[in-house]
Amino acid sequence: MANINFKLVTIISEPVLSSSLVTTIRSLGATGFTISDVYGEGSGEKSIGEVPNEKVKIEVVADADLAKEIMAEIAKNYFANYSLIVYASDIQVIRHEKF
Amino acid sequence: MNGDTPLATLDILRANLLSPIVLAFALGIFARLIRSELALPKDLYASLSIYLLLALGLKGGVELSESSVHAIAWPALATLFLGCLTPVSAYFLLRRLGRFNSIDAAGMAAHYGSVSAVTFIAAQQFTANMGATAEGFMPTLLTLLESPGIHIALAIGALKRAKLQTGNSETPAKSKGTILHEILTARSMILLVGGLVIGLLMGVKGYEPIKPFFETGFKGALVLFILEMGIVAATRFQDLRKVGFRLIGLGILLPILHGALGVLLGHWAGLSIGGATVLGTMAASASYIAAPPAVRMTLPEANPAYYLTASLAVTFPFNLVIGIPLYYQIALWLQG
Repeated sequence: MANINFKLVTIISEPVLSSSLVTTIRSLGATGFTISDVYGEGSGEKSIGEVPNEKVKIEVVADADLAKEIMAEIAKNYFANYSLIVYASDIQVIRHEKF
Repeated sequence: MNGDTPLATLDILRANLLSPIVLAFALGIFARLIRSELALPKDLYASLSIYLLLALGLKGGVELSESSVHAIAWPALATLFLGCLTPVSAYFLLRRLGRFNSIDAAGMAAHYGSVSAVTFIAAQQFTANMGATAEGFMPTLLTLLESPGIHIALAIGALKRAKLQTGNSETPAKSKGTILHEILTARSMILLVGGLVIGLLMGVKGYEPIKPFFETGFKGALVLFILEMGIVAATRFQDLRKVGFRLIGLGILLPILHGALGVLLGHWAGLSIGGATVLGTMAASASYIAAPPAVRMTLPEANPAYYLTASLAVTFPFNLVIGIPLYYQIALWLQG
């Protein structure tokens, strides 16, 4: 099986957004995602978690076009009022048809 | 505490200060202030809140099965009236006295219109210790007060937001229908309402076998939960300097006003001294579990530092330490 180049889009956000971010990602056509609870602090703290530094990390494997689309959509809908960051990195996957 | 002579105000305050609930809260604050790493594991905190809310619902339901519709009708009406009034009065006071912008005021009003279940439980414990146990149907009233306040304040906020919409095309991350669904299906609502229904259906006889588990451990579990609340509240103390004196002042004024009004309405509705105290406390308390996510999603421009600090770092400690004994005192005066 050949290794194929893909993007890993990572979103680190205040926990309250997690379900609505997942809906956004799904609606753009991503086939899956991974969510984990993480802790950390950023420059524009607006979090309302009971634990102030609580964050969620959402990871999505996508091809370059979808990755771009996801990032643009999140920037448009959430950047103005919420605390979150989004970045993409290059990864290699096997079984690329899964994504 | 002897039953013959009513306790003087100072004695009531002292009895409250030396209660395990207030002392555990103080320990939580102290631990946080000296930067101890103490914190309840997240899962234990969640488990305790499930236990407390379900126990509260079950017992309330069992007692509801014993009360008449007649007895609960007026108190229920008074509660609904409070649920509609407090978000509006909070909004106007925050706008006029606090001079907060309309979105921030609406965000905070949603918190003051809703209710804090932990404060409610603390008031129940306090009145029971004073020998003035509140009516058994109080948890039913708690569920009535939980959601109208949030919705009214969010509606005010949404209206103001629509007016302010200038060039900023940002829409809330969730629709109102979704928010309503989330409030009504939140863990606290399911446990409370579900517990009430189970309690109502099973009655005293069905409750008997599970009573030891849900009652013996209740006060102890509450102490542990409040310890964590102390840590969480103290975490917000650093924001007190940022939010300013107006917010701190209103965080104390609003519960006193709403509390006194709640006690008065409870008195008129025919509640006992304990019942009127608990209703006053419910009106005075500010939600910090149901309201924050709802406000964050529908009024994203409202500054969370304001509403969280006001409800968690100002109003919650105030009610726990001074508010509850004060509302009890007002109930005593009214009953003459």
